[in-house]
Amino acid sequence: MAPGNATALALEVEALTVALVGRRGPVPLVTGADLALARREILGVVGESGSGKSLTSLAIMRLLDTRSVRVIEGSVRLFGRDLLTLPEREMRSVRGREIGMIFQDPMTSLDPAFTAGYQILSVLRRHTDLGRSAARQRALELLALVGIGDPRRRIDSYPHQLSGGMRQRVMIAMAIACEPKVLIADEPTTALDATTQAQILELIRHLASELHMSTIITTHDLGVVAEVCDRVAVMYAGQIVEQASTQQLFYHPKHPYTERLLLGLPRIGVAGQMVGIPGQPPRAGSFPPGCRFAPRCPYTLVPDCVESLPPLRDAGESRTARCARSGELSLTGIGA
Amino acid sequence: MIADSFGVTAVPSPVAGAPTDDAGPAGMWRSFARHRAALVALVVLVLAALASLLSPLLPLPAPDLVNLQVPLRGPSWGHLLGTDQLGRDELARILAATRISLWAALLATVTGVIVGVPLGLLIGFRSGRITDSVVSRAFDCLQSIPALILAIAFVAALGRQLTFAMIAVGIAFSPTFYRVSRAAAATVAGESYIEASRSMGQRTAKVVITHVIGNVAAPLIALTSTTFAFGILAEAALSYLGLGVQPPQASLGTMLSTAADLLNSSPQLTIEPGLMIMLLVLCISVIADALGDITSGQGSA
Repeated sequence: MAPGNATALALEVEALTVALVGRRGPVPLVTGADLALARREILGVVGESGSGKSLTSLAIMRLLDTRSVRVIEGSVRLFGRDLLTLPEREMRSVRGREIGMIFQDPMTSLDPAFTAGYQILSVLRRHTDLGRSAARQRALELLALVGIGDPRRRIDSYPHQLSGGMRQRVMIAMAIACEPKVLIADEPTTALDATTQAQILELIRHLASELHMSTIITTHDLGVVAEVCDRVAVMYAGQIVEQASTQQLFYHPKHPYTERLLLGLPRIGVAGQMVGIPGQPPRAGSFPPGCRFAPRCPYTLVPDCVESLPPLRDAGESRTARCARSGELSLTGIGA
Repeated sequence: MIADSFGVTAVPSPVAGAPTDDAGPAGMWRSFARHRAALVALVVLVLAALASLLSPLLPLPAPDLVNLQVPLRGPSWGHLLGTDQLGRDELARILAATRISLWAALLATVTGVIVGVPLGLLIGFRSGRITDSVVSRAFDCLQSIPALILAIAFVAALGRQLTFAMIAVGIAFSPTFYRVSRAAAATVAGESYIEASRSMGQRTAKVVITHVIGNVAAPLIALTSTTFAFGILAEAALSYLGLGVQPPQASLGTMLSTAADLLNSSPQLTIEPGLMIMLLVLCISVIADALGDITSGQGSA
C-alpha cells in the first residue's frame, strides 16, 4: 500500500465499504476503498459524479445519513485512532477540532439567517474556551488569514452579501478555526468561477503548509489535482483504481481509466486531440463481476478482465493500480 | 361566513426569494417600517391595546355600572360613545371588551403554536416515514374539524368559559402551524449548512435550535399574526353565540348580540363594537401582510 509506517500517516482509510441500506439488502456504493494520507501531504481524490468520492469523505467524518447509507466494512484511522468505533460524543469533538471540512457549494453551506461572524464564532465557542471578545478577535484574525479584505466590516455580513469566493473563504475560516490537523475539502472549487477557483486552491495550499495540515481534496477536475496535490487517488464506480504521485499519474498512468481521463483533457495547440470515454459508468447495484471499467476499456482482454475483479496491486514506485494488465500495458500520459 | 374563513389561511412560502439587504432583526424592522400602511396599523393597534389595558385607569365609569336613568343615550360629553340599554358607558365597555378579545386571540394563537410548532419541527427535521405519516394524518383529521364546532364541543363538555373555547380554537388552528413548521424544518434539514454545521462538531440539538428555528421563524411570524386576527373573529363569533364571554362581562361579540335586538332604534350600539372588531382585524391583517411580504423576500431556506 502507501509508503511508510502507520505513524507517518495522518489519516488511513482501509477497505472502506459504504452501502445503501434498503429493503433489498445493502447496495455497495463505495467498495473496499483504501486511502493513505501522509502527514502534511495534499491528497487528491479524483472521480466523476457518483464515483463515491464525496461518500468517502462523509464516511470519514461519520456524517452519512445512517437511515439510508452506512459504512458496512473497513476502518478509518486518524493518527492511529479508529474513528468508526468512537462514541458519537467523542466523534463530535473530532469534527471541527481535529478534522475540518469544506463543502462544495458555499452558497448553501453557510446559513443565510446568520452573519459570517456568528457562524465562525459558533465553531470557536464549540471547541475553545475563548471569551466573547477574544473569540471575536480570533474570528477577525481568521477572516484576515483566509484573505478577506476589511474583516471588521465583513464579520457582520450575511452570506448573501458576500460573493461566492468570499463565502468559500468564510467556510474555510470555519473549517480551520480550531487549527485541525486534517482538512477535508469536498469539491471546494466546483461551484466557483475559474479565477476564483485558482485563488481558493492557492489559499488551501497556503493554509495547509502554514498550519501543517494534511489535506484531502476531492474533485472531478484533473486541473485542480495538477495544481495543488502531491498524490492522487483515482476513483471509478465506487473503487479506487489507481493511486500514485501527481507526477507519475500524469506522465505515466497505470490504469486505462486514468489514461482515458488524461486523453480527455484539452491541450493548447493540439487540435482534435480531446477524446471522450464511450458509454456510461456502471450503476451501483449492477457492477460487472470483473473489472468495473472493462465494458468501456479499449484494452479489455477476455477472460482476464471480465471474470474476476482485479485487486489493487502494487505497481512499483510506491504506487498502486487496479488493472489485470497493468504490467504489460504501456499507457499514454500527458507528456507523450 | 366567519367559520368558512377559518380554513383558509395565507401560508407564507418558506422558499427563499430574492435576497434583500435587510437580513436579521434590525433589517427586518427597517423593511417593516418601509411599509407605511403596516406602520400605521401597528401604531393604531398598539394604541388600542394600550387604551384597553389601561382603561381601568382612565376617567371612565366602570364598564358594568348600570345606570337606568340614562339608557340608550347617544354620544355626549359624559358618555363619549353613548350608553347601552342598561345605561352602561359604551366606551368603557368597548375598551374592556377589546382587552378580552386581545387576550382570547392571544390564548388561541399561543395554544396553536405550542401544539403545532414543536411537533412540526421535530417531525420535519428528523423522522421516519411512518412517524411522519401517523402524526401528519392525525393533524389532517384535526384540521377537518371546524374551529367553532370544536369550540362548541369543548364548551359543552367543560363548561361555558371563554378559556376553554379559545383553547379549542387554538387546537383547531394547530394543524396549520404544524404544517408550516414541518415543511420549513424539512427544507432546512436538507440544506448543506446543516451538514456543514455538524461537520464542525455541533450537537444535533444545537443545530436544530439555531439553524432550524432561525430559518423557520420568518414564515411562522407571519402565520402567527394572521392567526391572531382569526382569533379575534373566533372570540367575537363564540361570544355572539353565547358560548364565550358570559354577561354581564363585556365582549365585542356579546355587545353585538345584545345590540342586534336594538338595531332599528339604536344602530350605534351595533356599529361601535362592529367597527372595533373591524379595526383590530384590519390592523392585524395589514401587519401580517407586511410581515409575510418581508419574510418571503428574506433568505429563509
